[in-house]
Amino acid sequence: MIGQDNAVAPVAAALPEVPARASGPAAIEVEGFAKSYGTVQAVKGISFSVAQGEIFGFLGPNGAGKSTTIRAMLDFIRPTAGTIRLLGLNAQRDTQDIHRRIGYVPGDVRLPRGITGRQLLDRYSRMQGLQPILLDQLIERFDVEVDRPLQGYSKGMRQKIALVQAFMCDPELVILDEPTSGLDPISQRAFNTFLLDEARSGRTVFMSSHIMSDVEKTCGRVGVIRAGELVAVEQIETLRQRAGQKVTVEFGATGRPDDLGALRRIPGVVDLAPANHGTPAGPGVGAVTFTVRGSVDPLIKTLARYEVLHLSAEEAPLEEVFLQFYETPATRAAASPTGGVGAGDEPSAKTAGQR
Amino acid sequence: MALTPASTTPASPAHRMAGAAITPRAMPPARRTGLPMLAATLAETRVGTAIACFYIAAIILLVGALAPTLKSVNLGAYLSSPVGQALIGANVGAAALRTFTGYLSVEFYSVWFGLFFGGFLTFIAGGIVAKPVEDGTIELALARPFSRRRFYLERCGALAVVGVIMSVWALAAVWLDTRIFSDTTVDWHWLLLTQLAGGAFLVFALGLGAVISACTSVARTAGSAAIGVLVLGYLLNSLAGLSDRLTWMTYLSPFHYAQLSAILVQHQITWWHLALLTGLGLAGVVAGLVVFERRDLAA
Repeated sequence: MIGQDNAVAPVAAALPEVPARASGPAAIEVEGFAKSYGTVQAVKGISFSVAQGEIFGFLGPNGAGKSTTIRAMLDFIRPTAGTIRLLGLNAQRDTQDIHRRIGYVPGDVRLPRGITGRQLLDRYSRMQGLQPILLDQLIERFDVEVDRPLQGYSKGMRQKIALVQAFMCDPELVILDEPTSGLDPISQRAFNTFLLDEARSGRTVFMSSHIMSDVEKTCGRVGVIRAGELVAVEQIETLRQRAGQKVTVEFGATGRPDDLGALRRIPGVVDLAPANHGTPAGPGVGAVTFTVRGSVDPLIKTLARYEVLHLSAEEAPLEEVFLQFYETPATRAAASPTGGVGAGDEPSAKTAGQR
Repeated sequence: MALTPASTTPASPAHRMAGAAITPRAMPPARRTGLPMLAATLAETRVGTAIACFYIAAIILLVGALAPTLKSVNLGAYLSSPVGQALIGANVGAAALRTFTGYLSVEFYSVWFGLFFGGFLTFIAGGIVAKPVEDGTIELALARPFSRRRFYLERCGALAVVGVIMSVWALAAVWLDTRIFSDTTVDWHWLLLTQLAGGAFLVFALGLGAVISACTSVARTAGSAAIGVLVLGYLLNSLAGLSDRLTWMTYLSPFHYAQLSAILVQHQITWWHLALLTGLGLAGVVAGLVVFERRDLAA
């Protein structure tokens, strides 16, 4: 909101480096993980860790290497280089011990046919070798119909079954690939609330998602992977500050800036553009929209020189910040219009995990 | 509100040092695992197995029903052709075929047994690994403390059970013949040895499908390739009879080592043939396991 007293923070440069390593005992440790398929390098040596009890978001565009990393964690594929440790155990050597203590929801939930949801959950709990002590609570909380044949389930219901089977044996660590895919908005909200509750009880969650709002609401830290490289690991709060506020200002006829130049020079102002706000015609700039990051004091002092009829501000969505990490120079050049971009708007491609 | 497990003690504190193993918090009570993948695979194949058993029973009961009229049938011309000899073996004479046992050896315990029922088993064995990979169900299975080895061996075990079911069903159908129809006597000692040899062929078929399945992610491709090997074996066995210079080809065919008709009618059994088929089948299972344990699972 307007009035925050923060230092100026350009998008992705000059901030203190957020450690890729979590503080406290690590539930997940990825060290130099790389995966190649022939000559194609799907993941190029990434390193990060996730603390116990943390909800960590793992983001990236399609084909970036998210699922490859997750599949290596679960020993579905074997690393070309590097090591992965879950709960202190080697993911490739101690697979059975690890899998006894984790839950998993795949990105594309495929369930067997010919049995009911309850029968499937019973089968999975037997394969887990543990009693599904949270089963009834999860069925009630997620409102799952378990007594129908699986082939009759909608995508959303299959997703709910997948969530139930992941949590029903009270795992310490849960790895979720697109967990809210196919869920209606109410179920998504219920799941986000559930996730926050479970993290408070000490459960660690590693989550890959394309739904930025879910990530924003639930995750404490996020890692962004792009083209097989870890380009950022950030606290969500830091990203919120970096996202700034979207501001719209309408000027009166008697006191307007002559042009956008004076506004463009305000520290922290980016994406400045004229706005059609139904203001009276006349010389100068009638209305503008922009994003301001960091301290708003320079902005206020500059606007004080003019006649301000209306000013509104709201938190900028984090999605724009995330998308800047997703973009490559080529996609950015293809997508962005000329002008309207302020100083300090170039995203950094720093590899946060490299030490 | 967080879910509260009803029967666990509060979480124990984790080690403080990053990188050290984390002391697990209290686990839920243990549960007997049983053989879930074996049971699931049997359920998955129940329709195909039922169909196979239906045809087994239909063929054998039909043979029994027609047995009284066989005495007047001249099968000499049929047996003199290379195809006929490839089907039932060059050593089985026309006289023997005018009995229930002989006719049973032609219509069931011949190459047809290997092609149809061995083919059925090898086709579904092509889905041991490839099918769950292809339909994506393998991920939720292997995300549990359930090793690839156990997953694979339980699925192979289920198909071995299918083979046993088919074999026992065939024997039961023959027994029914002897109870219902006249002129349907059989030497049970040699019938059991014949079925045992048939079982060795089924083990070979299972191992063939299993090793091919471990190498692919498409069940239909794996199954078709495995059936193709059996068909090729049948062709080699058939063509070998056309010329003395082609005799060597028969040794490349699995059907050469499963002369079921000769066992049943002529009472000739070569034990190392059974051992070879069984050994190759088990080698295929082991090879498939080695491949499956090492391969990446396609998304």
